[in-house]
Amino acid sequence: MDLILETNGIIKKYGNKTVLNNINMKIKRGDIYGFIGKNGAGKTTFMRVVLSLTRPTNGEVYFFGDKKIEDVGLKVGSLIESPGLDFSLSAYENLKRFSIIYGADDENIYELLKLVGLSNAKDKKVKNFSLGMKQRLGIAVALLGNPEFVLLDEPINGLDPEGIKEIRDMILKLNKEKNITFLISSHLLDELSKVVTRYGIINNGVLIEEIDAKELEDKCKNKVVFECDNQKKAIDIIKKTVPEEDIEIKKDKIEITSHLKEASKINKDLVKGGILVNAFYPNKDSLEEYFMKRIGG
Amino acid sequence: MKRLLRLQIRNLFHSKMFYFYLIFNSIMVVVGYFLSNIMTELGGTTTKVFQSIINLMSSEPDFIGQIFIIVFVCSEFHSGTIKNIIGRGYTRFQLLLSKYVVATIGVLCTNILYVIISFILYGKYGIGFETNMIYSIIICLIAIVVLTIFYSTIAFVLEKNLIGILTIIFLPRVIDLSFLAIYNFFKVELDSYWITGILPKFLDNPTLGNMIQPIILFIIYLIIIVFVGNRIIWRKEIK
Repeated sequence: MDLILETNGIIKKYGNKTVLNNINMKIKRGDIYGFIGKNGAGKTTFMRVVLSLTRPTNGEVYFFGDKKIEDVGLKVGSLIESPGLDFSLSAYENLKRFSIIYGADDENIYELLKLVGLSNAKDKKVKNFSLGMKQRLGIAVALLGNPEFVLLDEPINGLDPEGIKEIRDMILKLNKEKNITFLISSHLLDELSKVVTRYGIINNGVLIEEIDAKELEDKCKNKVVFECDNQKKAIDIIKKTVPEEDIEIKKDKIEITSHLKEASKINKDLVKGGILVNAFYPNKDSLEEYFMKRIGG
Repeated sequence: MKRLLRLQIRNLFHSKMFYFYLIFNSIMVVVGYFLSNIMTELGGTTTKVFQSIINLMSSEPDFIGQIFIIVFVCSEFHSGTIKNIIGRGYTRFQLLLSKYVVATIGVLCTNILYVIISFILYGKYGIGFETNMIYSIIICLIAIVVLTIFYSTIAFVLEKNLIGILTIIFLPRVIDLSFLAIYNFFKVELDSYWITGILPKFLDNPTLGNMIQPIILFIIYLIIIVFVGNRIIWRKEIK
């Protein structure tokens, strides 16, 4: 297995508070790894540990098999929290400055400015940039020098819907064409689900699950939703066919997660019982719902 | 490391503070020249080229020089660009080392300027070269390097410009005063062993034989500063 990142038993404590607790993560080459968790779950701290911006209390981080960041840092790009830019310089000057230490040339700079849609603003001072433009430039810095592995912490923060789509398409393109591996954290789960090939779910500093996107799709429960009046009576009727633990009430909807093939019969029973069924249709748990269930929300 | 040095050299020559430092000190040298002329007319002794060079070098890094070092060393912290350096596999110590080298180059640039200006302004009074002046210049150069590394390390550790400036400006002076108090009370002379006191003590009697003690002391300070500095910054959180 061609591992791009492997962490063994990462623990990070601030005083008595354990922020990361025994994180063992493996990211394979070509993955787009979605790192999801609530605010304060430890996503950013973990990424900072990976990049050596903060030292772990315990544990090891390896890149490309058995190498340390000091050996392969130029192959690793990142955008962590805010983009680290010199606001007094232009977009081009910022990239030029970093290109010295990343070993990139002017061709790479212009290619990236085009990729993130800042070609026309290359000579504009960053202090005059919008939040979204700064974020785009931060992504360009992360991609400078053609890294093989890129860590993006909330990369679509501050972007408008069009910008979000552009960044999403860019990630997919870079992954497909250049085989760049990504580790992306975001709280916009539906957006993340459009690009991610593997997920890691972190809660209170513990990596509670790592799962492939396809596996997750299978795990997301199939269900049938009934929208009807007199919910109390409707539930009594449904209970005759479906066990109580497989029935869930969400506002004006009743969801069943077993006996799905008998949905038409249940509908018939409801109508017979004098219930007005406005609609019934098949559905699936969204990533958000699965995530909420896993973290016990 | 080469790339980091290239970046820092680029930063140095793009730094407004560096040019302010050079211009301000040049003006101060010219002002000092006119004042010394007045003193000469009032019966004081004439300053010749080499004496002027030693006088100027022995004051480096001066107040503006200290601020230049802090601003230069802290520039990456201030803008937040440091995470784009450390996150790409450069170690904190490599970054600090590149700051040492280039900040020292910056301070030495001022000294080159001092030499040029001294020759222009004081040349008419004669060169005034004596052998022991070479010893003074050598110890001045060592002192400049060690003090620049000392101030750079404090700035890197404290990171915040204001705290760094206050610490670098006041800490050595507070220690000087403490040693003075110790001398007054206990008659124990410690200030000549303190990093900022070594050079003035040597310049009182700059002979070849007297060079050994300051050189050894500066080497000891250098080892302590680099070792302790590296230990502290190794765990430093990069924001």
